[in-house]
Amino acid sequence: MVDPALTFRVVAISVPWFAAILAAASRRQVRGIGFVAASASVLSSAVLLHGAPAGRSLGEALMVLFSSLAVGAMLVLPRRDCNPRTIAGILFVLGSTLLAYAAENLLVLLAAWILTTVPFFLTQLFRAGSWRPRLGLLLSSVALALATGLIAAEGHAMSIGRLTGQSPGGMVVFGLLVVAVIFRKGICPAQAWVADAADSGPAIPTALLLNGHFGALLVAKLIVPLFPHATRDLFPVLSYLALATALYVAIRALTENSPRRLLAFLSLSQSACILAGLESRTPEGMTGALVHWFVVTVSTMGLFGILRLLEVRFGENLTASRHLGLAEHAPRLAVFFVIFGLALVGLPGTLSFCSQDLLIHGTLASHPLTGLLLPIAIAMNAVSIFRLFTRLFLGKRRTGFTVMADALPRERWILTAGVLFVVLGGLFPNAIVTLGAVDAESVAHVTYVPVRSVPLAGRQPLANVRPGYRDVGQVIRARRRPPNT
Amino acid sequence: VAGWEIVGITSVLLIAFFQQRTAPVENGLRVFAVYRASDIGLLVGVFAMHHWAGTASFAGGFPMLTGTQGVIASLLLLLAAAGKAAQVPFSGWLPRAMEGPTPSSAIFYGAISIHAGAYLLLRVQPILAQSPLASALVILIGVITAIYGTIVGRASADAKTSLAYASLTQVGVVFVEIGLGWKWIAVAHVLGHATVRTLQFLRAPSMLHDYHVMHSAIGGDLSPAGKHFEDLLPEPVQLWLYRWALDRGHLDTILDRFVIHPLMQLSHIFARLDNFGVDQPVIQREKVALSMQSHAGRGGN
Repeated sequence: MVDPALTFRVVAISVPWFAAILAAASRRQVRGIGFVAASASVLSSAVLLHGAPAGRSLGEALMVLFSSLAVGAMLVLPRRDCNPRTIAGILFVLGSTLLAYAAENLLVLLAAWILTTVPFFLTQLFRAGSWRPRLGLLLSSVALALATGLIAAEGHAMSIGRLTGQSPGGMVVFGLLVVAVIFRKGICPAQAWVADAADSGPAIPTALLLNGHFGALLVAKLIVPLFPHATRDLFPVLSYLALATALYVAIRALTENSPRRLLAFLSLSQSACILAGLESRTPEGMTGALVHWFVVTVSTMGLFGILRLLEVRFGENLTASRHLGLAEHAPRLAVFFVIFGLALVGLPGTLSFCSQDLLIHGTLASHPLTGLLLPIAIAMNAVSIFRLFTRLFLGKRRTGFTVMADALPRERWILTAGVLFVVLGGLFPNAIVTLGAVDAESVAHVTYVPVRSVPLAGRQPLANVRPGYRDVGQVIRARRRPPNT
Repeated sequence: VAGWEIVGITSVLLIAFFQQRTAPVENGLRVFAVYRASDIGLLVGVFAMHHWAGTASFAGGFPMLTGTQGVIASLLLLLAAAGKAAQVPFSGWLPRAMEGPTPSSAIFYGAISIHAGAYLLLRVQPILAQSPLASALVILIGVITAIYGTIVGRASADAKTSLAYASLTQVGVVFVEIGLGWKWIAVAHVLGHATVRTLQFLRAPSMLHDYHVMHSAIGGDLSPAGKHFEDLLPEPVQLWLYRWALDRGHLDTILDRFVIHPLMQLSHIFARLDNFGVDQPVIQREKVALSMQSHAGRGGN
């Protein structure tokens, strides 16, 4: 009998691919085709998530998140961009990304890793004007391919489950995987391609590529489980690189006037925090990182979407070097922008406030320097996003063009859904924090190091720091179920 | 922490309320930057307390901290309190915040925001009391701010800014009281001052109107008030102080020169590093946009 989980996985992955072919061939109703295919992926992923065992639902949760993002992209895509090639490309990236999330085999993961980059090499699809994005993606794929090849050459099985804890290939493979993370995620010194991709490529597909967070996926899915000893000893180097990236791009963003580049820097800085949290090896840090992953993904997708809508309405020469006063013309977009922007940088009452709280707490426990410097990076990011908001939307009303439409109903509803996610997630964080905590423990159990000064068991609940959610340890214990349930 | 930050963001959005003008918007951004910088102290302080003592809650007694830990936690919280209460060296944001509507200025800079720092210090006063260094620093900041506020306030040309500096002086005195451990005097001072100052802010516009009416009614001969202590100083000192007060103690200049400018320089260096050896479409786009703007300007003239 066919495994139902496998069936849903196949549906979630293959429907977007077939729909991509259909959209490219039919050239009619492409937005409808894309929407239906992405919705099918959302439903299949949701069923998979519902049936996933406790502590092993990271892939399924990410599948739901990414396919929901693709649905959002289909709705928010301006009519000007809504052509068969773009829709087909987005659906192809969706299917490939879901394949990577669902992969339980190294070769499949490698194939998915490469497939997601293919549209960004093709001139007809999403190729950026600059060469650096292609180089970054190529080097990351080469590093992962070499690591996979070395593991295969040593005669190891290709199943990720069987490789857990075995450190296959030793330090060379570990190093190659770290290099793959650095290039794919845009960690210093490979950060420049991300801004180039956002600036000279199509905005929404590039945001989807960045929000796949394949670097963090490789860390959570492969590096930490496969290399527990190397992770314990050498992984702090990656953490410090992530911290350096967060600070570097946060400072870099302070004087950036291109809205697209600025958003790319903020996205990069905030997603480097995810890596620092994953590396913290504490349940709080890892939970914070996983929840932050969700928030950064939704917020940056919303911001890039709004920016593209503004570009379509008011011209592509938007700049943060002067006040454009667009709030007078597009007040709804202004409100969506400020909520997504402040949610990205930890506005109280949004989910990122909880995630950053856990993230800083966890990193402070394992690496005090990282814990001290992360808030500085986040504060600079907050200043940059607020600067971008004030420059784009506030100031004297622009004249010289006729009345432009504010957010259209389809854009309005999907942006509202995103805002509801970050705001309701902040008001009722337990559901998402609990989901993250369970997964965090599943990744952290091999590398967990107790907090140096006070053991976790003797600590007061986190609710003392952040009212609204319970101690992560309690959550983990309460939610832990026997493996056979 | 959540309440603290919500006060910050709401007050910043209110400063930028008159969005059609550039100045309130830019001042809102400046205030936001100062708030975020000082909020780092609160965040790290709270997390450090939780890290060291296992709790950051004051409900069941204060976290037990060692000497050094207490000093570090106190200094971090003092950074947050000084930023939010516009104490020296963060005072530069206060006159900028007066760009907002008067009712919001009354609520935030007569009562809530300006006293939030003092309230934080009152809540953590037992931790402050453990650290003579932190207590001394609180007193020093309070004294300097009180003197600064009273001198600069005398050279302010508008009613709201004068009232803001008067608030600053009083909050400086409250800081001194907290540093000296006079907790209940500080509480009474905060409550009384918040009430009076809010009413003063709210009354200011109509009072100015009344003043102008009276001024006209008596033929424009209302004598200026408040010139008392300045005459005790030699004239050169008076002039120097006047220039110093007009530039608001050079605090913004110092902050610009030693914090913001180096950070921006670093950012430009990073930008050059990032763009080394590649085309810079962004710069070209900027040039196009600027050229279009200048053409539009010429056309208008």
